[in-house]
Amino acid sequence: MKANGVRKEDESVLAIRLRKGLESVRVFFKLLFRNRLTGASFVLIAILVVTAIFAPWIAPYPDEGRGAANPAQRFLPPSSHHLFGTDELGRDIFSRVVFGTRISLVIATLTIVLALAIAIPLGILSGYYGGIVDEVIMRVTDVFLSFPPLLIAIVVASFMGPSLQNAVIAIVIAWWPWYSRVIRAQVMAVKERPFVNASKCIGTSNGRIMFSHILPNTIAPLIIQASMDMGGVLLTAASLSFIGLGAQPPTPEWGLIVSTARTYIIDAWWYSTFPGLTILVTVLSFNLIGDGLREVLDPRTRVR
Amino acid sequence: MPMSLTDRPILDICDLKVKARTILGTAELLDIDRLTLGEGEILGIVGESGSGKSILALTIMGLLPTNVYVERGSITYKGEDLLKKSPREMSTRIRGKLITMIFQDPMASLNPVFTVKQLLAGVIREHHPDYDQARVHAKAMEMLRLVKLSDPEVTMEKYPHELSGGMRQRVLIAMALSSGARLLISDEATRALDVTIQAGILKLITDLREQLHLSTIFISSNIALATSVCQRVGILYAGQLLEVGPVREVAADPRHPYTRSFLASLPVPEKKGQPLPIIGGRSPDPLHRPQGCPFGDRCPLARDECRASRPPAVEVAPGHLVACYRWEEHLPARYSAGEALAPLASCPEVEERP
Repeated sequence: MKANGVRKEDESVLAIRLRKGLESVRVFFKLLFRNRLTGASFVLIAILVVTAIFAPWIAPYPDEGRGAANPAQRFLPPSSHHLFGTDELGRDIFSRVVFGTRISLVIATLTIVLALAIAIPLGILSGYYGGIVDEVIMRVTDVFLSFPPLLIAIVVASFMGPSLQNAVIAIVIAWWPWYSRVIRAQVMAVKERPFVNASKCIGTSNGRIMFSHILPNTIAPLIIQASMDMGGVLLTAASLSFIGLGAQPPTPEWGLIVSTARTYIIDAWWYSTFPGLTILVTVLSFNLIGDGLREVLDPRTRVR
Repeated sequence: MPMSLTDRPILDICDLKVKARTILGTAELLDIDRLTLGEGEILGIVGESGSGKSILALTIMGLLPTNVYVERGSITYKGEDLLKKSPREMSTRIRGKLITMIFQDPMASLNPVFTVKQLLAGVIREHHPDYDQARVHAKAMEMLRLVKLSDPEVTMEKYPHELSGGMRQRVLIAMALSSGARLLISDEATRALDVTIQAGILKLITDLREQLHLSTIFISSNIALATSVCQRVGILYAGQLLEVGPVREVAADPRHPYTRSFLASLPVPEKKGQPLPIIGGRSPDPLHRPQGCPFGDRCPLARDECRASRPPAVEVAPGHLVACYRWEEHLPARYSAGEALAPLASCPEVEERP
């Protein structure tokens, strides 16, 4: 049989598994870097993650990054000492942005994970059972979907009071219905596939069919959607901070920095420009990688 | 009015009527007086598309589509009426545990995101929650050996798309049987496979019967295939059993005109170059089943009485039942199936597509 031809005599099962694992990792990266934009955005995101983890060592002035003022050095333009210049309290803007990476990435990840935690069970129940369950869940999502997510987030955040945690909760509330819809559509498609019926015939319970047979088959579109949304969530968080409903000073949140910088835009162009550019590049990277992942995770595009 | 009898039936279908609600009205899908499956027997159910073969399988499994309902009848499995079970009981106690099923397309029936090992382990854990990992693994290995997959260790680590069609079907059978069920419904399980692989799967089903005393309902649209594995065969047409009996009887001496026309319309090497006789007309509309014999409109022997009332089943030989008024008469020459039958039984490569 053809499948046995691949097997080398001395290869143990463990070795086969290891080889397969390495192989799939290699293929994953090969596909990722085949598209230059995707490769570049992957590298950028990797840099961001490293920056977030090692912020105190990367930032040239860690104390200022955390918020310590240095009035002697107010509004210095970009130079080799202060890559992005300094702000109205004499803090190094580059250090602030580096520390902001932590906040932004944590917010984005946390929001997406929480939104998925709500959306996955609801979406699966809705798509699998259909009927009244589906009606109820989908009408609830309809209510949320009829407003722009940012608007819902603003309303929720202003109800709960401005803080970073509340901003996360607000964004989660605005975001989960979108995922529920994506999952529901996927589940409805997957549940018609013969293996679901076959599982029923060999006595698999509904719960097991939903969560261990259907869910893994819906996960690829979710990963794509989630990675593209990282940018959107980040932007929403920054927007909330910008209008004063998110992070509060002296948190080095990107949106908040841009918001403060607004006042000084005529005298200190660098103050708003660099944090703004950082937001732009980060959001763009997440969007591009989402697009790239779509290609990587879809087996049909692999062969080409 | 028994349609067929076996000594110790494991499954006994009695007076079964299955209908479907459609926008155009009520469709009659199945109308079976009596059908039994003996323990350790392979029973063939042969019929063309739309004859109700799959509906029969789904009725037994309790997995009918929502618009299809059982009007009356009973399906008795070892003394228990399956049609009286709640959906919950069917799913927790019957499906998989006692009765299991395999399907036409093994690739589509296997979840593509899991390895063979994960697939098998899932089923085994479902039915034996007390097993630890080592026992699950041992059981999985045992099942793969049972279905005669070479190199089970290596196969375990593979994904369905890395297996050949025959191997996939074997994995599916292993999954179906690892729950411990001893009644297998095979719904066109060999249709998507090529001839040699098909022969291998048929051999496996025959072997499993001997090894596990497995009872099988072998559903196929290919009468030649059914005759090569089954002990008894039933001919289903428009939801009704027209003829049922021991394979040798039915193949060598078919008494129902439909069975004879069906057999005569198969391609066999001896008739190379000759046009194949076809059965004129079409099977009756399920929305308007005829009052009389369902084959009446197409039957070369049909008379007024055939159209007026449904012929009762007649036992023409021991265990061989035919639902026809004119079973003793011969068909016109064009329909005679006579000599075609002997090679048929040993000719499983004829894949008939209705």
